[in-house]
Amino acid sequence: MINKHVKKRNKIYFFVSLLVLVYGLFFLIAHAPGLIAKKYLNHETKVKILIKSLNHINKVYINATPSERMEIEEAFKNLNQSVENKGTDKTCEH
Amino acid sequence: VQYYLYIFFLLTLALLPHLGIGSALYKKNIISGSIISMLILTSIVSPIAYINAMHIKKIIFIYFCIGLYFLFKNRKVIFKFNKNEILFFAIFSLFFLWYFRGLSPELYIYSDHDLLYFSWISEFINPSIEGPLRLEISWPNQMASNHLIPGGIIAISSILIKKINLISSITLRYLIISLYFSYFFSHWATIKKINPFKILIFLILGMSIFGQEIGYEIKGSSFIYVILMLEILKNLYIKQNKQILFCLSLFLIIAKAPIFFVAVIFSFWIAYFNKEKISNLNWIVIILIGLNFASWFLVPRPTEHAGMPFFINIFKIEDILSLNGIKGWFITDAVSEIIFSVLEGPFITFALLIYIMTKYYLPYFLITKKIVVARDKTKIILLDAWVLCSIVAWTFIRYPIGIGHTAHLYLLMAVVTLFFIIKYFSESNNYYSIIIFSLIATLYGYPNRIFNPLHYVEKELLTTPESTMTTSELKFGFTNYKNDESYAIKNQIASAMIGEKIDAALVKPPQKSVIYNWIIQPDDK
Repeated sequence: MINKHVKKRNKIYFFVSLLVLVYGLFFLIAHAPGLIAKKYLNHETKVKILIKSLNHINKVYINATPSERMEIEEAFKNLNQSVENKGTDKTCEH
Repeated sequence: VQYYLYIFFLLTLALLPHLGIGSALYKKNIISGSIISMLILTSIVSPIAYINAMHIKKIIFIYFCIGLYFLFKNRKVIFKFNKNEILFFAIFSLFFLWYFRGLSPELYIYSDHDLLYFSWISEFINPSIEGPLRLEISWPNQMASNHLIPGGIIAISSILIKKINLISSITLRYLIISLYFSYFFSHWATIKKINPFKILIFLILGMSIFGQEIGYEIKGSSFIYVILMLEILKNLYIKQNKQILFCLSLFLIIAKAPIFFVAVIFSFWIAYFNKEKISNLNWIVIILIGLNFASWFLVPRPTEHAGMPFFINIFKIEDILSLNGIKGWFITDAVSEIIFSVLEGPFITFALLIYIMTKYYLPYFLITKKIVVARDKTKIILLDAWVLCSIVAWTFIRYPIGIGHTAHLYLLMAVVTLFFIIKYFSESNNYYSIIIFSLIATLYGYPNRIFNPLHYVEKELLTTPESTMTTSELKFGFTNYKNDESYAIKNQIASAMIGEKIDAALVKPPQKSVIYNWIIQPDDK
């Protein structure tokens, strides 16, 4: 009886792990455009995308609450700082 | 030493009535009964704190009188000691008081997060004005809805302390955790007749792998959840008392608000599986849980970061990408350090996802498969529900702010996995597997993590010195509540440490402090 249960339980665990794995794959696929862009796009296109993203951030900023705005400002402050300091560290890349 | 003895003495006195009630609730399981008694009292007074904190002391007094009556009545049952267990308890106490030294008040790094759970305890016990719970560090502003159980347990334990402050609360938590862990392992060694040193060795080795996660949980507000989890494991695998499980699982619901839904499913599962008639005590507990639950919704909510959990939509890109949040919640260890250094971008998140499933969950399924005996299938089936729900919840459930506190689920799973690892190896005669495990554990923890479960937490807190305090810093004079922005959070912590109020009219609470969102500030108009 107990062995039967353990088998059943392990099957459920296997199924749940599979779901988690599928989700992980979805997550990677969702990142694919960014990864491809990073590797294959030329500099000008990257700049265009960046400007588009900044425009999008601007829209988000307008609708944000005061504390969210503070967080965004803080993030940009850090970004500026890292550009000034190193130019290519992880924050800047992000 | 004098301060420790003083707090220890008053803690013992405050625990005696719970032993009385515990013996009345469960004659054969007094310690579990006492823990339930403490939780009952805390869950009675917590919702009342939001109505009128002035009544709390009266209720505690009445409850203690009832407790002392039962203590006297059942004294012969309560004060029956097992010599071996006392000896083992002494050994484990010495070990845990040293092992959890990072939680002791003089070595502890006080942070703004502690203000959220312990800065209101003095106002909880000795309120200065009628009405809902106030915040001492932004007096007389009110506290927004929060799960008060972890702080409440410390509050009812500090009822006899003359000067309640953050230092006394941290001391009490340190003593409660050390003493409970000592009790748990000494009780285990006595009941199962295992050499306590064998348990101790596997405990150190196991903690070398899972200690940082457990340290993180007991340092925060989850220490009650850890104690309840260990109580459930004790009553399932050591003492085999299934009657108490439903009651313990009910308290899990209010022990940690952001992951309440897993405990709700767990409670339903136990009730369904045990097929027992719900006792009068359990009905009372259900009502108390309902009242606490209601207080989260009826009391004004924190200004931000509050929201209901939801299942991710697999077709919504923001939901899928929110998994990135686990990078921030992950407790780094030997393996994850390699992951972070070798991989980059989304591949780190993907690798962590696989690693979490392997580190926290896989050992549970492998070990329980081996140790299960045909005698009692319910043992394993009951816990499976929590474990499986925990996997689904931390992976697929989100809060509006992202992955949020559901990450606590896999961190708390470390407690369950550690228990089974100690159980398996302390009962095993397979020396090869013991040697391999010992080697892996030593490599995992070397050099800093083996003997310090708070290594990760301390390292993280030291990166934000503007929102932490130590007792040595306090001695250098952070006692002036000047309206200085750069020291604002430090001043809040310092005033909580010495147990004094900060007048909100004179000093505005700093916006960057964690507790800022839990302060109900009067409308500027």
